[in-house]
Order: sequence, then C-alpha cells, then structure tokens
Amino acid sequence: MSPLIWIYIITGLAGFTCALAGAYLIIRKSAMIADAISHSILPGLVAGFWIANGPNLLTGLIGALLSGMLTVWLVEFLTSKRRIKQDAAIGLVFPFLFALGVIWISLDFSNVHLDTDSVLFGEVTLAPFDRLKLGGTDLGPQSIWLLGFALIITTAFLTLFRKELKLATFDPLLATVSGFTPIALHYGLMTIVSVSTISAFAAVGAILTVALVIIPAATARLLSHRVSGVLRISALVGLTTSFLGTWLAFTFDLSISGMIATLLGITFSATAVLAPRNGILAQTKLRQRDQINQAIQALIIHLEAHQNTPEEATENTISHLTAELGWSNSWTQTVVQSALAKQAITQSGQTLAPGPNAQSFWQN
Amino acid sequence: MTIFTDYTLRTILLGTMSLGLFCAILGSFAVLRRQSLVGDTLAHAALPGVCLGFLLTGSKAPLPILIGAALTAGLAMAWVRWITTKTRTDWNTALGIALTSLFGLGVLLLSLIQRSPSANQAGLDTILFGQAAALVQENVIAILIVGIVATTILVRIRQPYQLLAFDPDFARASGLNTARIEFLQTTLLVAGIIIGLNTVGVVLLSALLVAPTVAARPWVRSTTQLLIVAAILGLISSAAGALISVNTPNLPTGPTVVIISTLAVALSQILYSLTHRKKSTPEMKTA
Repeated sequence: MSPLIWIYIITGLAGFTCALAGAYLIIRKSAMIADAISHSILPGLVAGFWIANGPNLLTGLIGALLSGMLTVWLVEFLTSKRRIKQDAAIGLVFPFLFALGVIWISLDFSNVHLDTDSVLFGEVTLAPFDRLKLGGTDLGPQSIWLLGFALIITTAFLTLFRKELKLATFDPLLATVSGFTPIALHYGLMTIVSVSTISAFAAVGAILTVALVIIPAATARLLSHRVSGVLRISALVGLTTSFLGTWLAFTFDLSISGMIATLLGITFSATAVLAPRNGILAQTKLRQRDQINQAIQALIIHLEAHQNTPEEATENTISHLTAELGWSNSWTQTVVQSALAKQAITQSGQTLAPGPNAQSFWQN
Repeated sequence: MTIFTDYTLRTILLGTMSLGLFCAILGSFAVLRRQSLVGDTLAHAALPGVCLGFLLTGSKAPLPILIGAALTAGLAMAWVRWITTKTRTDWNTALGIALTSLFGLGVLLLSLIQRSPSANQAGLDTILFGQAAALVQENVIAILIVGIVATTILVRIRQPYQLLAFDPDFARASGLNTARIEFLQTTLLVAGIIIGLNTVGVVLLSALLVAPTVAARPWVRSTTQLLIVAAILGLISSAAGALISVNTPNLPTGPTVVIISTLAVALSQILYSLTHRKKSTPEMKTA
C-alpha cells in the first residue's frame, strides 16, 4: 500500500480511538488531565530510551504508560488533602514532569535523535515508514499495531464496564455502596486515556492527541444527552475530522496535525451555534417563540376581557394595543401577524377578536 | 563571582529572577479563583499569534510578534468564556478546546512559514521551550517594564478582584462590573505570558504562574501576605534555578526553574504537614 493510504488509516484510527477514550473524560469534566498526561509522558519515554540504551518500542511504551499513571496518581495525591485544588495540582504536575524530561534529554541525549519538537508536533508523514518487524517479516507500520491495540483495549474496557462506568460517573455514592470503588474505575479510565494518548502521539504529536481526546467528545456532548450517543458521535467526529483534515493538509501542503486540530476547533464552534436542539441559534429561536407565545396569551386575555362590551371598538384595535400593553409598534405587528397566522385571533376591519384557536392556544 | 561581571550570566539571572517575581504575582489570583490552567491555555494560544506576527511583517522583530501573541491569547480567553456561557460545556473542557485547537492553528501556520522560500524563521519555535541563554538586556528591560505596570494595576484593582475571587455571587449582587475585572485579569495574565515566552516557553510557563502561590498558600492569612510571600518565593526559586543552570553544562534554565519551583511547593507542603498536624489550611480573610 502507498504511504498516503497508510497516513489516512493512521490518522483515522488515532481520531477514532482517542475520541472514544475521551468521551467519559469529558462527561466527568476532567478534560485537562488529558493535557497533563500527554505532556508528562516525556520523561517516561526518555526513561525507556535510557533503559534500552536506544529507541525501543516496548520500554518506551512501558515508561510512557508509567509516567502517565504517575501523573494521575500525583494529581490525586496532591488534591486528596484538600489543600491544593485540582486545577492547581494539574498545573504543577505536568510542567514538572515535562521539565524533568527536557532536562534529562539535554543532559544525557543531546546528540541523540530524541526531539522534543516532534514530541509536541508529531510527524505523521513519517509514520508509515516506521515498520514493525518480527523475525525479519515486515508487519506494516508500527503505529497501526499500536493504535489497533489501543482501540481493542478501549472498546473492551468501555463494553465490559459499561454499567459500572455509568453508575460511578452519575452516582458515585451508590457505586460505593454497591460494592465497587469508583476510584478503581477512575484509574482504569485514566489507563485507557493514557494508552490511547501514547499510541496516537508517536504518530500525530502530543497536542493533536489532546485535541482528539477532548474536542470530539465535547462536540458530541452538545448533540446528545445519552452516554451511548456521546460515544458514537464522538468516535464519528474524531474519524471524519481526521480524514478531512489529512485531505486538506495534503491539498494545501500544510501540517497534518495542525490542520486536524484547527478543524476540530471549528467543528466544535460550528456545532455550538448550529446544533439542532441545544445550539445557540436553536435556543435563540426557541426563546423568541416563547416570547411571542406569551405575548399572544396576553393579547387574548385583553381581547376576551373587552369582547362584547361597549368599549370593544376602541379597546380591541391594533393601534390601542401599543398603549394598553406597553408594546412597541414593530413588536405589536410581529405578535398580531403571528397570532393571525395561528388563528389565535381574527381581524375584521380595525377590530380584533379571539379566533377559533384561542382556547387551545391558551392551554399551551 | 563571574555572575556580577559577565554580561550574559547577569542578563540571564536578572531576566529569570524578574520573570519569576512577576509571574508569581500575576498568577496568584488565577490560582485563588481555581483557574490555574488559564495560564497554560493562554500560553499555548499565543503560538498562532507569534506566527501571524511573523507572517504579516516578515521579520522576527519582537513587537509585532508580541502583539500577535497577546491578541490570540486574548481571543482564546474570549472563546473560552463564549463556550462556557453559551453552551453547557464546563470550564475545563472549554480550556482544553481553546488550548489544543489554537495551538494546532499555530502548528499549521508554522508549517506555512517553513514552506516559504524566505525562510529566516529559524528560532521561531524557541518560544515553545524558551531560551534563557538568548536573553539580551532589552528583554530584561521589557520584562521589568511590563511586570511593574501589570503589578501596579493588580495592586490597584486588588479590592474588587479579591471580592470576585472569594465570593463571585456577592460581587455580582453588589453591582461590581465583573466583566471588566475578568477582562483585566486576562490582560494581566497575558502580560505575564508575553514576558515569559522568550525565557521558559509556552509549555512550562504555567508552573511559574501557579507554583509560588500554591507554595505560599498554607502560610498566609490575607491576600496581601499571599502576594508578598508568593513574589518572594517566585524570585528565590528563579534565582536558584538560573544559578544552578548557568553553572552546570547542558542544563537548560527554564526547566530547571520549573523543577526548583515545584520542589518549593513540595517542601512547603511537607513542612506545613509536619508543623500543623491534623489542621486544615487556615481560612483567608477577604477584607
């Protein structure tokens, strides 16, 4: 297969896996821990490099996973005494571990190819050439195997602990009473996030990995209220944005990870505005409709009060409404038009009267 | 002591120390408001601004680059507020969205710059990790001016600022213009980030903003004390970090300062635990 197709497969797989792993992270409102993990795996990678005395897949992965879990544990530990808040703990732990990594590299490996830039940015264009070889046979790009492994683990965890995760997230107290500890699930979830982050970041870089963990799930949250919905939409957004971003980056000869991350930001904002039920536009429309409906109700009350009385001819006219109900001219126009259209009122000449739908309208 | 005679060493030391001092002050209220990660977000969001400043002027002149950085960092904060007020997205997630996608935009622009034939962009990415060794006297003067102005503003708006930090509902109810104070807070943090970009870079900046306040917090009873103790701690840890790094070959200054600042937090917490058994952190007076 050509490297181009491999790149699409790698970014797509990274997008799918990270988005899936990130869903619960976003539902549990701990997005920034993903940012912390992605930065603080650096010293673990360096340690793996140091132990194997050179680039080695296995020691690097184990080191990265261990330092990812160390980050989670340190944040838990610092916040456990309630003296340090979670945000401050995260803001302390990951710069510390990242700084350790940078110092270690500059002290021991300044001549070796272990580039902090590429840790942050990633170089997916090179990923297809990093092959996994076993006993002389070429098994394809290493990233595919890593990401495939991460995807299997993530799916297995989310399927096996489906009920437990829901319970621990939405009712931690009941979860504790029911006999399993939410904290164990918390670490399980963090392991999933770490594994996905580590598998993805070698190909696409730390920052894009975090973008893929956070943004698809946050977008999905705007569109669905159900865990299963969030999981599905998140994975779909991660996958499609990765494909589209890769294609755009190739078309304009720009950074793939930069393009995907930018696209994710745009996707989220567009969804926030346009989402069918909870979008800003939909909400504004809903509010306007409510306002008009309330105004129509007030109008009907007024019309009914004066119907069949001597004052009807003066009270129940459009021109009188502005003064009576304190409405502006344009607002009165809007309300009357809408009420006429909905047959809540009828008009004969200048006089208005409750229409055939007035009663049913009032009940809404 | 060559530190007082050698131009380079003196510049590194002075620059790092003043940075540690001012970042500690500027970050303090963000930590109190549980917004410690705002600094990290703003720092990452400065990258596209740096690239835009370079793309538009075609030079590495510091002013347009810093203005660009300040603009996109401010934009990031406006975006975060838009997300949290207009959607049901929580604060942490909003920070993560702004941080990653704006940094991604920066990476995108960097790839655009690197493609152009006039590539004198070398060193533009030092703002990622900072390079204290490249500091010149003008940088130090800039840090001092920005720092002093920002600190003066912060001390002047301290009263309403701490009301907002400790009791935002009361602050709003008593008719305080909270939007204006939020804006000032962001501006001050952006100022701290702008002066830190050259020295410690975007990834490590958040430690300088957060660590001194967390280290000072158990030992103080008022915000005035907090500001003073945090400033002193920031100053000392940066000085120590800079001194250690210039005296050790291959030891980068920014990361060393971060390590020392974090160790200061650990030391402060351990000392407090040893001296105050079974007591929680003292309440802070708001007045």
